[in-house]
Amino acid sequence: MIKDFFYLAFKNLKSRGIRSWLTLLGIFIGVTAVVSLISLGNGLQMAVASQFGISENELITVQAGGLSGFGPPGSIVVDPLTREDANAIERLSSVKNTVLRNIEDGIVEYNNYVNFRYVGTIPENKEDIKLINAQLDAEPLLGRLLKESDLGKVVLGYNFYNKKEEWGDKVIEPGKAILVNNEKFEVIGIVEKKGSIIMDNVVLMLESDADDLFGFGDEADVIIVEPKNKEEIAKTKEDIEKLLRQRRDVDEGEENFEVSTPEAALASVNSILDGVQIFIVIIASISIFIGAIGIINTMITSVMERKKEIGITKSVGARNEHVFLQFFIESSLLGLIGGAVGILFGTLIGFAGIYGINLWLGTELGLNIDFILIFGSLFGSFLIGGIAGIVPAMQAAKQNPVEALRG
Amino acid sequence: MLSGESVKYSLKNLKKHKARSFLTIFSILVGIATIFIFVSFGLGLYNYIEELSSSSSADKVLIMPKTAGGFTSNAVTMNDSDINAIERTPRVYEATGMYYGAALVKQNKNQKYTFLISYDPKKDMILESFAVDAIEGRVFKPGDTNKALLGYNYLIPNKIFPKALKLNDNIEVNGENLKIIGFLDEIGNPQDDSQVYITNEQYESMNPDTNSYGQIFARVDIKDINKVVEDIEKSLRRSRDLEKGKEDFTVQSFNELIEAYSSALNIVIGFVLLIALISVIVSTVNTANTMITSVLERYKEIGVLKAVGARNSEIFSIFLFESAFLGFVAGVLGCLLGWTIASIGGLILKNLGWSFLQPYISIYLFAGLILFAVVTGAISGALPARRASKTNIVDALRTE
Repeated sequence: MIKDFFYLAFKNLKSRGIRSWLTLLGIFIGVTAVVSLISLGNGLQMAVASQFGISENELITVQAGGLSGFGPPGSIVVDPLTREDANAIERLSSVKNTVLRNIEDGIVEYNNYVNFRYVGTIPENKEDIKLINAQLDAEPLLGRLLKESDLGKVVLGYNFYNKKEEWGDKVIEPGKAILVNNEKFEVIGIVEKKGSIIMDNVVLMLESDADDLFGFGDEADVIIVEPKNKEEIAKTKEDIEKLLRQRRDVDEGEENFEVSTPEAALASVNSILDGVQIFIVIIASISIFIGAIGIINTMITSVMERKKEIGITKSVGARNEHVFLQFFIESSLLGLIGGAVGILFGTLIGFAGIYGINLWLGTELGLNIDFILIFGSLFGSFLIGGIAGIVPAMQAAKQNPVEALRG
Repeated sequence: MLSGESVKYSLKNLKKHKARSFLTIFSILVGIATIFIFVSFGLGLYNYIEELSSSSSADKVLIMPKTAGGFTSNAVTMNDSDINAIERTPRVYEATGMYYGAALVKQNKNQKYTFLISYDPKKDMILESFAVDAIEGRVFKPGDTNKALLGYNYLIPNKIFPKALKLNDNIEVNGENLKIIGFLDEIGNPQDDSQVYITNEQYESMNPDTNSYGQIFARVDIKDINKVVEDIEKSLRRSRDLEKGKEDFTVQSFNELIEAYSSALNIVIGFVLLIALISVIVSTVNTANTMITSVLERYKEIGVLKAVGARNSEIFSIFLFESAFLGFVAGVLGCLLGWTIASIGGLILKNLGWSFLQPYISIYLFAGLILFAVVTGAISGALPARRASKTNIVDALRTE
């Protein structure tokens, strides 16, 4: 029975030629726009997460309160964190290890070319170095990473090696020397490409070398904390907050510092991007809405044109619900077919966009097919077609056979 | 060529198929309203930027330390010797430094982090560049000590602090008690309107370690400002003993900076409009569909019209008029709907403190969008109308 309805619906859509095509086109354009924008947005979200170096590790970062969003951590703060803060945190029973980090603006010179780059510090003992390398997720591409005894040496991000045009077409490799704030440093390694603008352009050097150049003393931009038990990261976070409230003499709710877990950091970045994406998808959805109006219009016309036909079907025994189903299925099919083609094109455009993001930002985002998105929009367009068809189908079902036959 | 009779005939037809005409108009008006909203807000933003780059800022040049990407630098210092070098450059009238920092502002038990900006009251160029003045009290005078000038939002209860601040109140900024001498007029975004301003002397006494300005402003001869920018670069290179290409500072005219913002704005608004245009394309498809149906239904009628003497061009114009009329009605209603939504949106944004994001509504916007709707209606009706005009009389009359 249902099969017959589908068969009939297909036949009808086909016989109405250009009008069916145009109705499909409406839904198709809308769905293409929405699907491509959603997949682009998801790609962008991954790209941003990789830019911020938010990885899947289970370390806690502590920063002094201030105005974030205007530079690297710690650049605009009122009361910086200190080594004593880190030591106190390390004495907490739920904490395994802490590391201080500073990020500074360095003037890097090589082959008579000058560029401004971030300089990140590396602590000077084995345990801490291991922790930092885990946090940065750093592997050497050439040479090796810094050891605790590597005074006067630096490890550079991938772009120092890859973008020789920034240095007068002379490649920087391990063994070469560069100037940082007019001091000479030997390059001993290049870090693998991370796809993050900050990490791929960073200069890593030992803490005491950096202190000689920048003089931050015992102050720290960030304290990295390794919890003893990774399952209880939330509790460790609370412990640190309590301790720092005490040390910095502030009440709850008035913290002048921030303790964040990787998930929290990612969530706060994503919430902004989600807002932007929702806004854009809503605008794009307007076109699906207009496409649905097109379906209603087509179906109303179709009911009127087939008034006589409906009369005949009814007089040979079709019930109201049969007529309703026939038109309802026809309009759902319009939505479904338009949606299916739209999803295909939308996904392809999304892929092209992600490829573009990769080229533009130097990231390495995978081209994932999002099945939830695909099935969701397929079901959605089927539903939209169905909803658009309800009123016309009801009109058709209510038709009085006698009047309909009379013309 | 379009007689009153054909107009009447078209309108009667549209009325006969009320549901269809209504749905077609509705689908166009949604798209038109969307575009109206974004264009009006876009124009509002351009106007805001235009105001920023008004005559009071046209003669300003900004000199900033280079950074690796952040907002402030700790690698490059700029101090009074740089100001001297800039002032010695030909056609530079005067130069002054400003400090930037974070401020922890406290009122009783409440606190807030915000931007702290300081300037030299003898050479106020920052307030002049942004054309803001005190709405209550006054701005700094030379010789003011332990005084603070606050942004507009401190005047509003529950915006920054539960209680609004008043003139001559004391406020704690980074642990220092300062007396409020004035509040600035509204700038229109929450960040600027919550800023705290102090004098350079005050900043230096609160931060004794400070050795570098965040930014230097210079007032220069407005004629051939690009040449002045180059000259400032040259004299700074000389005074800082740097080779060309190794500068650790940037020099930019204020208007150049604002142009950079507006070109970023172009991209954003262009992108949003592009997405909104998609909905217009879909409604064009709908209109074409309606017109095709309309032509098919009236196949016989067209035959009769032709048989009694209607010319091809008359048939064509009847159908073209029908679709253009649909576009016109949708354009008018769409603009009205867009106007309503944009005005409500503007009010909401104003209450949230984003008063620089206001729709700008002009008669040209209405006229332009209505014309746009008429033209898209006509375009989508052109092919069906042509088909109608080419109808073969004999075939048409023969059909049942």
